[in-house]
Amino acid sequence: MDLVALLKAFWHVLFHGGFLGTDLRTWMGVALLFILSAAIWLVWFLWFLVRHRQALYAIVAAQVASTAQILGWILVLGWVSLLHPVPLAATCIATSAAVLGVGLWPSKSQVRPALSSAWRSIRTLRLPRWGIALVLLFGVLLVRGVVYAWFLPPYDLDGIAYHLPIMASFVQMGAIRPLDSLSVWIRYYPFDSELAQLWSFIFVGIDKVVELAFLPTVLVGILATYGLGRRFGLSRNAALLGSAIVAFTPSVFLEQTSSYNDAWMAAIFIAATYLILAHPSLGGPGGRREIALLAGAAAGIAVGTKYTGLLLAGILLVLLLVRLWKDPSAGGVGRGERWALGGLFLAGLILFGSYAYVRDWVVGANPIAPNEITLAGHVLLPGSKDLSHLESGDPDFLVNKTWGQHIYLIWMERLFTPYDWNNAGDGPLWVVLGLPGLVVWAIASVRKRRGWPLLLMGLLVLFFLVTPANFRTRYVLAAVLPCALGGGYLADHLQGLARGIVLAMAVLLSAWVVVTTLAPAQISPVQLRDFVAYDTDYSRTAGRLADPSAVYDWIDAHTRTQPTVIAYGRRVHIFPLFGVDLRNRIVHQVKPSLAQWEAGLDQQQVSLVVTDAGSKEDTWMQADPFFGEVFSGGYLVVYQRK
Amino acid sequence: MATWWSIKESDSDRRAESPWFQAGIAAGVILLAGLYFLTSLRLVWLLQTYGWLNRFIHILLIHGA
Repeated sequence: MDLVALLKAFWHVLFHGGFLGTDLRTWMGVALLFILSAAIWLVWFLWFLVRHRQALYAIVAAQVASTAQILGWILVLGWVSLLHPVPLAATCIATSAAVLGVGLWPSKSQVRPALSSAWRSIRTLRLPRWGIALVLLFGVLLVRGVVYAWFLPPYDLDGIAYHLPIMASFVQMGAIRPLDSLSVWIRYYPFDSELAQLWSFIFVGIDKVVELAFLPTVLVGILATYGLGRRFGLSRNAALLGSAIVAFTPSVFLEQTSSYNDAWMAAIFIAATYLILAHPSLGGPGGRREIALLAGAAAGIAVGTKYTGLLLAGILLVLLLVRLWKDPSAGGVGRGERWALGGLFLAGLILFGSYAYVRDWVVGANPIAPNEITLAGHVLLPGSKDLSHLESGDPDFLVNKTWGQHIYLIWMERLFTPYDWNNAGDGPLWVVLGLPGLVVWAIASVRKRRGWPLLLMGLLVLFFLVTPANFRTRYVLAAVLPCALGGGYLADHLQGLARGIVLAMAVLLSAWVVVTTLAPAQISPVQLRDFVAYDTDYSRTAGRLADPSAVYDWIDAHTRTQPTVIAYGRRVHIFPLFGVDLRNRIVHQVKPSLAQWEAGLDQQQVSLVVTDAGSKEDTWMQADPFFGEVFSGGYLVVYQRK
Repeated sequence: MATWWSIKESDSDRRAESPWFQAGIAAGVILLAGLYFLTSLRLVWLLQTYGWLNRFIHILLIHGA
């Protein structure tokens, strides 16, 4: 190989289109996002560290609190139509300044000793050789995820179909309002995770780092699993193994840099579970208020992220109640305080979780639209999706399979699934170490009469059983938690050769999932080469990896220098229509008749319409004298105003 | 019952189980992992992944930028 040519190639990859294909303005936006996020987190971290002197607790609590602070302001500013970068940054900075001034400044003399003590406790950590191997392997996964998130456009199916369009519409409107979309997901689904993506977009101005929005929280969820292991009495090494079972679950590490929000929601849940169980000083009312607030915020965020978050919020409430009223360290809680604590939990639940449900009730006469709820043949809540179908609604490759085949196909065989690349199953570590661990831990807990492990296991097994379509494993990702802790428990009760075998298997299987997921799904080496070496952030469009890409490419090229107003019909991936910098205004509309559809197009001054060939809206567009077909590809047709 | 709601297991509980139990767990883990590797025959994936990475590096450095 010619050395000069090699160096030239590296030089080109580094410095095309600015640095790494990213111009100075975007680098500045990413830097601003990082500095703001870090400052908010750091203030909360110091607040919790000074109060409790426990580094891990402070890290996890700071993540939940800063997520709540950011999402809370996005919601409030969105409701009053002030959702723009400057008001958002100003309110977040003001809040952090207030926390710093009121909460931290009076006890500033304790900051340095608290940091020193935290540093001392971190320095005592010693990783065994297999632990170093696991950390290095996870490092590979992190680099993999960040590199692909940086160089590839957002392209996972749910992301471009509805998560990112919701985010983009809120940014465009500068407000949070109902979206009158033909897509039921955009119209009805809860959207708190989209608000986290909005935070990663709004200061940058393009979709550069939206796939990194969930990464910090998922990493904290993995740390919280370690903390829970320690709280349940596992040794450091066993707790490390437990957290590795979560970390090397493919759904977790693939989703941590994507738009799929299951891992993010599971991580919020695990973090809150850790905070409830590990809170160091529940003896005083201040500590009890703190934990009720944090748990309520986490429960609200889970509820506001997915409908299954309702179940996770219920579990958090049960854990909180049991901790407050059954745990001897919590002390006596009077009747008045019970109501106050309940109120604080409810406040978080309502602030972060209620909006989408109230909206759906008003817009769709059903708080969990579009899911239809029936009881004994009577429709209680109307909707277009039948939940009983969802319950048996297996992925195609599981239809009519036995339970044994379900387990084999989901847990043993499929790391990837053809219908949804991010829905990657739970991987081998969980089934090989986690499930046996769960059984052993459960039996030991019954024998030793230990309520907490049994309560956690029982609630999460129940969560698994009642979640519709639970064989789509990402829907029930939180159920990995007790298995992870069980795997750790198992390691603590083995020694010698048996322990060596279990740990060797853990490293081997982790290495396996790392290697088999190194290549990005659905991307060819040539495509990745182009994205890395030739493209800039403005040509790395989501549409290039969408299907049919020709239509999205045409729209992107057509609007590159001339932003336009676009409406869409059914089955359209909406995010690519916006453009990477949301230059095109996207009109959401559901109209029952041709006249109303046309009136909507005129009123919104729509210039382009993309429809699914053969759909009702497509027939209308063909008959519309003011629009003409300008492009078609695959199943989509583009019409332009004449 | 006094320890029913105490979260932390005491260190004395963290002891090795009987040799038979340990042998059973080790055998079970090997069996499950073996089943995973052998029946799914995913060794092919290993080669595919490395093939993919090799192609990418080759394309990037030789024919690329």
